Amino acid sequence: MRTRMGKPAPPGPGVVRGRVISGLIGGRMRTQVSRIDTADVLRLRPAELPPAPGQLVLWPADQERVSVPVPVPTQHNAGELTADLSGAALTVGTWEVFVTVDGQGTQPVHTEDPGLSLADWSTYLTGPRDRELRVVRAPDGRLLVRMRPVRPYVEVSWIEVDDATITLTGTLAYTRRERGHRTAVLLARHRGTKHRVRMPAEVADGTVRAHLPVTELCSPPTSGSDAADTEAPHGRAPRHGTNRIWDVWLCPDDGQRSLRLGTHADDIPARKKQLVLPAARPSGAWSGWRIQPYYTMHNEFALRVAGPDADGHGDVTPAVEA
Amino acid sequence: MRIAILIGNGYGMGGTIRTVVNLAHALGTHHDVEIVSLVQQHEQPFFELPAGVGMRNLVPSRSWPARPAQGWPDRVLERIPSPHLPRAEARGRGALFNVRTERALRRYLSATDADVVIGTRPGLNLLLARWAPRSVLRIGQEHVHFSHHSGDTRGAIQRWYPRLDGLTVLTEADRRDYAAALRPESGWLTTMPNPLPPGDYPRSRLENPIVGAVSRITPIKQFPKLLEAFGKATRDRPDWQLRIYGRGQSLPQVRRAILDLGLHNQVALMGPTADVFGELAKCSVVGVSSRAEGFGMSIVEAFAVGVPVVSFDCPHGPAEIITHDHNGLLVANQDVSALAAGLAQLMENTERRRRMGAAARATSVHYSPDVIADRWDAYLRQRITARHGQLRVSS
Repeated sequence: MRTRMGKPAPPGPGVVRGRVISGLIGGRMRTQVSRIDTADVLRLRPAELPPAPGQLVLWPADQERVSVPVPVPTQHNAGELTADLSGAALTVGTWEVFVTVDGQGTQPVHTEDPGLSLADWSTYLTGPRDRELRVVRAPDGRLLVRMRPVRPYVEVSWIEVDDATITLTGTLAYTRRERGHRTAVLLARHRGTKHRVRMPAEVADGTVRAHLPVTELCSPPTSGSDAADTEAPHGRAPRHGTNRIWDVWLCPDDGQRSLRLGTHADDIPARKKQLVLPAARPSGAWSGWRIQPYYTMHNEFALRVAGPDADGHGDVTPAVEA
Repeated sequence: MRIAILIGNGYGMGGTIRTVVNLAHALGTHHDVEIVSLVQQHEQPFFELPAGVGMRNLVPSRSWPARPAQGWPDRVLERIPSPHLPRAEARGRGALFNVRTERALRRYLSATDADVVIGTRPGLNLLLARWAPRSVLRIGQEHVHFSHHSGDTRGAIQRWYPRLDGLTVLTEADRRDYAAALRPESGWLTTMPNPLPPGDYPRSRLENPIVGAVSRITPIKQFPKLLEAFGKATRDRPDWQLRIYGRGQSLPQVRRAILDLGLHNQVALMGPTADVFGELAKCSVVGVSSRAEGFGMSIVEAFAVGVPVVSFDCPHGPAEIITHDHNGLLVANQDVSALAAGLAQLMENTERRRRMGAAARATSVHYSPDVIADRWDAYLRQRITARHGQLRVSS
């Protein structure tokens, strides 16, 4: 069997996007499906296998010209190549996937799989892990693997807003999911001070649900350093008593460390700009206040509270906070 | 042949420049191709140029932030609208057509060594008809339906286009209307769809609950109608998302509609993307809610990655690309409930999506660069023959 590109070129060092790849031969292996499962096994279903595929080799895709490849043990079974990446010495960053063809050299792997499966990603969140591996298809078709360190968090999937309450629904991610119903505390931390507001939350089979009474976040801090209740957006002078930013965490009742709320389990890179979220506008004593949920530049969930004395009578946009 | 493709601003990110780059790619396989941009607006074009295809810039744009200092006569001339074009062309398009750019184009045409020059919008076609030497094959390309031009532009087209050696339009509907207006000789006017770019496209697995839409966000695209239809279709399917790729003047209205319809959990404004195929391949359905489509390039792009399209049966492109219930769904024009029902049908039925996705891939072959390049090649040779040896290049 031949590769789609025909007869391979003799092996030798090749320069691919500024990096020296040893043993590079002509052609490439094309895969129809490229996935990483929950056990961090890379699963490739090639359009056609090279005559004698050896093992997969990952090269740093975004490092200097001279870099060190990471070979990974590779299994062939029923037209599928699998490589266990769970123990692979991958550093943080993006890696390009190559395959060795026994006795000939190395070929890049290209994929027609767009690299996003929302269902797979949702499943991937279910267990404890400290690093996340994702397959990515480069615009020119190259198969990439992206590694980033992760810590347990709450994946926010749904936000409901009315004048009195912001309701959040999400799931525990990258941590153990206990069966059954548990209580927890949703902790809003006022950015820049030690002021905290605690609200009850429910965790049932890993699903988190919490109701935030918005006026709780409008109340002024009581004393000490908490009184410095202003938070200046980058590049702006702080103004007393107007805008406050709250970061939101979940504190399980089992003594585990608190979990930040955010949305990371898809490929939307900048929710801050890409999503439009409604604001809560309480009535009564808090008329004129505006509580705006938003995502930070790191896709973490936060709230911006603006009093009636803020610019635009509380009608502020969340476009500048980090 | 040496082929020059004229474009107003080769540094933008809109559909016209994207299709010009694709055309250059297709024609560049067998010919020497150069893109000639009336203005330069940035250091580098947004879209990567095909290997071997150069970009010639005639005038640095006033809106180029890093524009080198210009002499005062040029700065005066570029503030005077083109005197030889209809008002809609001379006053619109960000003052693209002014005395300075007009003079630069005239100089270029008088000195060009190209065998064929192709204009890509009315202002360029009109100046090409007036000033290109007779030794050059002058081809106009129209991306806009005849009735969508202003009255003075239609008048100028009827007066000057007959001087061209040929005119291509994107759809059969366009061809009928331009033929009625211009009454050309046989073979002068032809339908020439936009080509896809070359490359190995990804292929959608049709598994993600994502509806995609790729377009400039402008009034004619009617995104609030797509949002309304999506909202109706997903009333019982909250796991489905809508991703809108692009930017434009209607963005504030779209943001407001997202909030008014309560779709903030399901809609993402993704912004422009340079990897249209990669993003579309993450989707399972593409929605089109336009009042009119000049061609429907995003439909062809969705087809190339195997994604079926649900579209209003609006003028003029969708009905010529989509075969109803084969590679997508054509629903009653401007009927939001019908659009919602069409989206819901494909959300509901994975097997139907897969069948239509496979048919869509097969349809996209008609727009592959090789096929369109062959059509262009045959057309240009036929036009050269029609000029009876008056050109530098022979057929």
